[in-house]
Amino acid sequence: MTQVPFQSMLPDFQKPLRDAFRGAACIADVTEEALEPASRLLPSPLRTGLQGAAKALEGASRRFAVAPVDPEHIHLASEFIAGKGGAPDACASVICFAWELLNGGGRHLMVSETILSRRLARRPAPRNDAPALNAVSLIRFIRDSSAIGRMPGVAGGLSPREMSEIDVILVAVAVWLLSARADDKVDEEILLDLSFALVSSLRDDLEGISEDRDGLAEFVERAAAHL
Amino acid sequence: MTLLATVSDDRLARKSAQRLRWFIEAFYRQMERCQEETGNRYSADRHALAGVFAEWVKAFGAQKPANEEDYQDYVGFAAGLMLRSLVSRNPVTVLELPPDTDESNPAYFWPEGYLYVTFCLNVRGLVLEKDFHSGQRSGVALAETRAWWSFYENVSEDPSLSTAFLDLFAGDNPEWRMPELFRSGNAGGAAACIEADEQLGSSERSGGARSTGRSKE
Repeated sequence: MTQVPFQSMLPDFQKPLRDAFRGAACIADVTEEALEPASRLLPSPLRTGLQGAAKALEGASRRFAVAPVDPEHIHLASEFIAGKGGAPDACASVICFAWELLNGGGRHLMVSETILSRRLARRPAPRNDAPALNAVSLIRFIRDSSAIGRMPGVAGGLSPREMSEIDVILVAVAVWLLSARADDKVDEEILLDLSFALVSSLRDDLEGISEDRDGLAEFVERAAAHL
Repeated sequence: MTLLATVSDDRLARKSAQRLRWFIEAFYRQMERCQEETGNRYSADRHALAGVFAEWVKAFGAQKPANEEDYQDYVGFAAGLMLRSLVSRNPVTVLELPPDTDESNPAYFWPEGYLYVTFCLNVRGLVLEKDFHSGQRSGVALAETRAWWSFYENVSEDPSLSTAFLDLFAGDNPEWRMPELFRSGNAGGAAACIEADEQLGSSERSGGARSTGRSKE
């Protein structure tokens, strides 16, 4: 009888755990904001203590929430987003890593690595499209999934500004992953930041084509070539 | 005034210059070199530089000539467009100048402008040398305080004049009227350089850039 490795019998708890930390960071941030009017009534030492505790919780949670990715993960994710390989797990981790690095959604939105990973694994096989077209299909697939949104329990739907913010981040991640790879992880992080800055600078162009698959693919392809 | 980011031998310099990662690296290297040479201390905003690059890429693509014979002329024009975006977006802050600087020296008269001009001239020179095996002269105007006064005053009002001023600083024939329009066969020779220097003196008569001779405020 073939023995199943012990480790593979365990459910993957790292992704849900990171999601929990992401949630904790959001809670800390939202709570601090919600209590802001009332906290003005508190004595100064107590107010400072509360703010410090909330910031400490948020900071620690955000540190633990960052998915540990390396250049190999980034390479696998870039293949996946181009429709050339099947590594949905790596792609989900890299997208979450990028989201945290770019401070996605202005702290009130979160991405669930668990849901994203499952959705990407169940996504129909790519249709042999060009890399940029595949990337755009993936962006729309992620945007329409429930992987990105408000933290459960926080009221209100996504505003148009937040939707636009999500689009900019997803496009920036796609542009980054489709561009030529950097030498190491530090340079990859700089490249991701530059991609975000580039796409943000071209936000006006992006808004006119966000529903146009071919137009968006052309935008992504050109931006990746210029990155 | 030396530089710069290098390009790999198997890649055209003008292709490298169209990539944001190269642009940023080259700019920071130029900034470091400029700091060493002048004693000025600068700070550059990376996201603002990306905004400069994005604007430049759009402007660059809008007038890119279809005819390969025009590519060499377009290098100078494209460098001028880059100067225009740098001047209008101003991504650099001067943190500190050395004590007792001589303001008749362009590097201290307008430190940000000096950095932008040296960067654009060096990128221009690098592309001309690598891709077209052609050298770049320095125009006499580059060392003239009068030209820098005029440059500062004019581009502060109308950044599109940057393309003409970069030609002047590079010793080429500037196009003062509609400088934002690329014209085929615009590169000048030595005669054009002399004409350009004369043009600066008589620019008020010709309706081009103003040469006021006043210090910047």
